[in-house]
Amino acid sequence: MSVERETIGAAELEEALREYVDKANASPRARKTLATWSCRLHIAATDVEDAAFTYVVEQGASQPLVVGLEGVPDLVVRGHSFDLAEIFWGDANPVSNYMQGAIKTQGRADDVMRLDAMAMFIFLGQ
Amino acid sequence: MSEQQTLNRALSLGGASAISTGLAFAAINFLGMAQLLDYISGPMSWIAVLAGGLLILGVRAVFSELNGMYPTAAGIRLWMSQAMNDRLALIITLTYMTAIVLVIAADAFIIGEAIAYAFGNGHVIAIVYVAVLLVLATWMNLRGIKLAGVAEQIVTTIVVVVTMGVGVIAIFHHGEAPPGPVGDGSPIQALILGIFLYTAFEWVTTNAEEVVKPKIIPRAMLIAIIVLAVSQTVFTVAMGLTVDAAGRATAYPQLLVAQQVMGHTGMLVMLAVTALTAVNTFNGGFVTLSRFVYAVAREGKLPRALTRLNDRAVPVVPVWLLGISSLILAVVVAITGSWVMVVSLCAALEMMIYATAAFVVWRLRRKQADTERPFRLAGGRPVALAFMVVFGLLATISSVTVGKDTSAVPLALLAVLTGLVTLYVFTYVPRLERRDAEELAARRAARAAARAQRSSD
Repeated sequence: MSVERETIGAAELEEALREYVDKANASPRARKTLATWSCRLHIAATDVEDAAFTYVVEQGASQPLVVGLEGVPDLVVRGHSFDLAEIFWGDANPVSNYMQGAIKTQGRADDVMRLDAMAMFIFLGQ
Repeated sequence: MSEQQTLNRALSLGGASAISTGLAFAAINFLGMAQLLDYISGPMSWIAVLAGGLLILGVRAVFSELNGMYPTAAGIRLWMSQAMNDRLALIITLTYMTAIVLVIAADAFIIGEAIAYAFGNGHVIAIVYVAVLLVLATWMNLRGIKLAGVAEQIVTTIVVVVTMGVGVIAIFHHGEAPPGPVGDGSPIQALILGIFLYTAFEWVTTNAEEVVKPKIIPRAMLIAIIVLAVSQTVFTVAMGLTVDAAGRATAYPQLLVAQQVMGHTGMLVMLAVTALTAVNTFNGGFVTLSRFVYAVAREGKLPRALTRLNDRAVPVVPVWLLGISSLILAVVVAITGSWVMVVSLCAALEMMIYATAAFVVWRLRRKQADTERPFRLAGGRPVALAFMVVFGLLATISSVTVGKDTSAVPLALLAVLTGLVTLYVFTYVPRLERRDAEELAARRAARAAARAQRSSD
């Protein structure tokens, strides 16, 4: 969980997510290991209005980020903008934030784990 | 955003009820029923099973309140750390997790023994069956093969319906009933074993994020308790009416019930049911524990090696560790014939976690009085305190009893286990935490510098 919780604006959060999507597509390990994973994620900051995004992974390939919430999600991730940004910057890992209650999810635990695995492949190069 | 939006693949009430029932209805429950009949005669055994069910309704209320406050798969870790010191919460959680290893080992052992009995094999071959089962379960988990939701519902339905069917036939077509327990009837022991028959029903709370209506999980637990009460009451009475003390002392009393009233075919049917209970146990146990270990390791409380994933995104090391430790335990149980001890250990661990959950409700009612609670334990803090005392006492009794004998061995084993976990938490975890904190600080500093640079540009 973050120590300092400054608010991250919607534009900066969007930028963090777009960079994350690019990194995910550039990671051979993420593409290979998550090749069977398809998931529509809704990501929303609880402290910033309009900071809501749709992130779709199809067979391990991250699709271009959509601003706003589109379609019926498989997984919903909500949290303070700083906690969300830290995940997509690679500073904090999703599961750690999740275990400490900093972010809340709705959906299957398997999808949460795969989202975490993706972050691990991108940032730790496992 | 709405808190109750639609989800693809949301868990239904039926699905959640099947998960709760399936997790509780393990093969080891048949040994629990057999042991219960050592304390209370067959025709009266329904009292113990239903009394256990009544207390379990209280446990359900406790878990419903906590699950409503923290509807997450990490619930147990989260609500404990909110109510007590994080180190203590970690010690209790890690100690409790051994119950899953014990149940997996016990189920593998029971099925191995049951197959060996059904096909007239010896004890050594039974151990080979146990090893094959656990190797198969480990391999399937490493391949990421899981029972899908609908299949899980079908398996659970078959287990419940066939168990009840065999039980009803046995009740109406039994021969001369064997004599009941002589002398040492113990209502408390019978009650503990009655409660034991429902344990693990609460693990369905780890599916809380998969439902779109918060009330589904409490309702699913209620349905599971009713289904478990009816089916297990019927089968316990049936066992008491058909199998004598010697038969109940085997590792496969359920097979003997079916054999008595339906012959060899009935016995094979019950063997299939026993194998199906293990499908649920292996499916739920392996997935729950390996993913939990992975998550705690990612949280920085267990070594980083445990976060290693294979090409199917399965945490390899936790699955291997679980498979190997279950196999070792199952072989030890098979060689020493100490399955009665496993029942005592599992019962003690479950009662301990029920007492802990009641303590957490009691504590959080004051500490987080304003937090929204979709479900509230009736009676509030006094009732939570009463549950804590009752389950604390039952945990203590379970830990000093093996079958009808008083024995300090389960307590000693639990003390050694807790001691090792405590040693780990106080010596190794601080090192992991320091390393993680330093790495996080470095990443944040680099990030802050990059953002500052960007804004100055």
